[in-house]
Amino acid sequence: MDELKIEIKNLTKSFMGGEGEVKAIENLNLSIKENEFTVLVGPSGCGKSTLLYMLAGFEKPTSGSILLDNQIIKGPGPDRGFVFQDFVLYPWKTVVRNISFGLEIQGFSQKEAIEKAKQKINLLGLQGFENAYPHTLSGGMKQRVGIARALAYNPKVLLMDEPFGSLDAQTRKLMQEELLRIWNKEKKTVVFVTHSVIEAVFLADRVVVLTDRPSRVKGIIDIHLDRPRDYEHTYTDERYIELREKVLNILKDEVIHHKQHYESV
Amino acid sequence: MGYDNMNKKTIALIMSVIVLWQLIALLMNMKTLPSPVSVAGRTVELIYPKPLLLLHVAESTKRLIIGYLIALVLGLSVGIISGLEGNLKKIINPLMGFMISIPTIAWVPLLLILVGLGDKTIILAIFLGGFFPIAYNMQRGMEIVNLDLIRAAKIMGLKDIKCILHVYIPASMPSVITGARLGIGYSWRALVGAEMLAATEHGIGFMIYASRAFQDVPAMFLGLIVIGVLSYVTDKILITSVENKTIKKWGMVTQHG
Repeated sequence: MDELKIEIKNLTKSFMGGEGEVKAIENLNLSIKENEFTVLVGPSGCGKSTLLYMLAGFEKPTSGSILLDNQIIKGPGPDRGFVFQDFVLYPWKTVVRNISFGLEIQGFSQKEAIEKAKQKINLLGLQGFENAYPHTLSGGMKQRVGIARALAYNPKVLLMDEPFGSLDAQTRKLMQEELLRIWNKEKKTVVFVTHSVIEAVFLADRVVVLTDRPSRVKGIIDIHLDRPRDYEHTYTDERYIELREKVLNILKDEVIHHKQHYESV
Repeated sequence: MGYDNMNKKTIALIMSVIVLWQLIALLMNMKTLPSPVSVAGRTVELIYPKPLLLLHVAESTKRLIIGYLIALVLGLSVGIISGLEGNLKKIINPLMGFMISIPTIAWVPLLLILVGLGDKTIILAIFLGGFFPIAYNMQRGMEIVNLDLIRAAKIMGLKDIKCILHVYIPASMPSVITGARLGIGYSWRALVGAEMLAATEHGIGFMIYASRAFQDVPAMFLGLIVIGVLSYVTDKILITSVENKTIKKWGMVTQHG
């Protein structure tokens, strides 16, 4: 449990924008332990998704480095799984083939891949939808497929970019509980990005608050709440409410800073 | 509105146009405007005892299929490669823009000198008509593929070449279909024009043009109708059926009504 999994060292990322160079992230340092559930929160546009994209290897750091199992991340690879906010399923593949695709890429025969994908179908409660095309599914079901696809080839790290951000409030709560149930079964190192403090504290072992652009780590709050968690009990837990307040307070200054900065422009 | 209902209304519209046409032909009583009845009579003469019309249709269809298939294969290939390779795109796009603006029929006199009368010139014209819209749309399709679809595949370990096959191409199917549909339309136009100038014996375009010498106006009308029907049918068989089995089934196009 205490093995170091991910180490982010002096990470800086800048983009060329319309008004010259924009720093999204500056000198960010963070360590993440194996099988830990880490949630990144910060004001909108602060670079938390950029950080996740660099963890995935989709983007390269401008300077600094990210180590996964002591190896520098040089690009995307199947030791990680990624769940996108807007699902990003393959519309031309059925549910089961979306999920088995990663296994087929790993070299499993189509038959074996589909066999293994069925386990994830069961885990995510997608039975009966195996042969449906994604466009016929609701948002919540689509994201179940998105999670199943990311888990199917058994990556060590699960990266989630506001995965429930486009779901309605009810579905969102349900999916949060589902995610914790799945995480409890399939131990993974999870890095989860959200702008919802309620969601962050409910899910996390640790909540990492990032500053407004350029992003740095502003504070790390350990969430020592009992697991398994569910809304019925955790919501009314005094410690949960306290922790939520604590995160909100740290975040508040940043949101004010963000507002002042952008409303003055 | 139901599909059957729609079909009935379309048939009713076509019937009314034919009736109206017959009335106008009767009232005007002109030699130059044949009535639907005389076109129908001429159709029968051209099918029985000698099936001349069918020979024209068969010859045109054969040329269209050959020319269009070459346009499809080369157009998709050029589109895929140039869509992925930005430098190549910069070189070939001005040329494509130049070529696309030239009506295909304008090539035919030149082709007649370079290649000569006959099938080769006609097939080349069909190819030239179809190639550019197919290549251009394929290229656009590759460019506008949602990058996250590619990222999702890369993190699962998919390598570049396979990524083209398994992600880029299916993801750009809406553009492939658009290009294929435009391409077959342009190929048909090119076919008819080229047959008028370059065909020696058969072909719908040839039939229309040759009818001029005999003042055979009903055969000209018949030729127009056959072209309309054939291009409608080829679109249905080749394009719409693929469309229904792919992007419509996958929900990649918004369906109204």
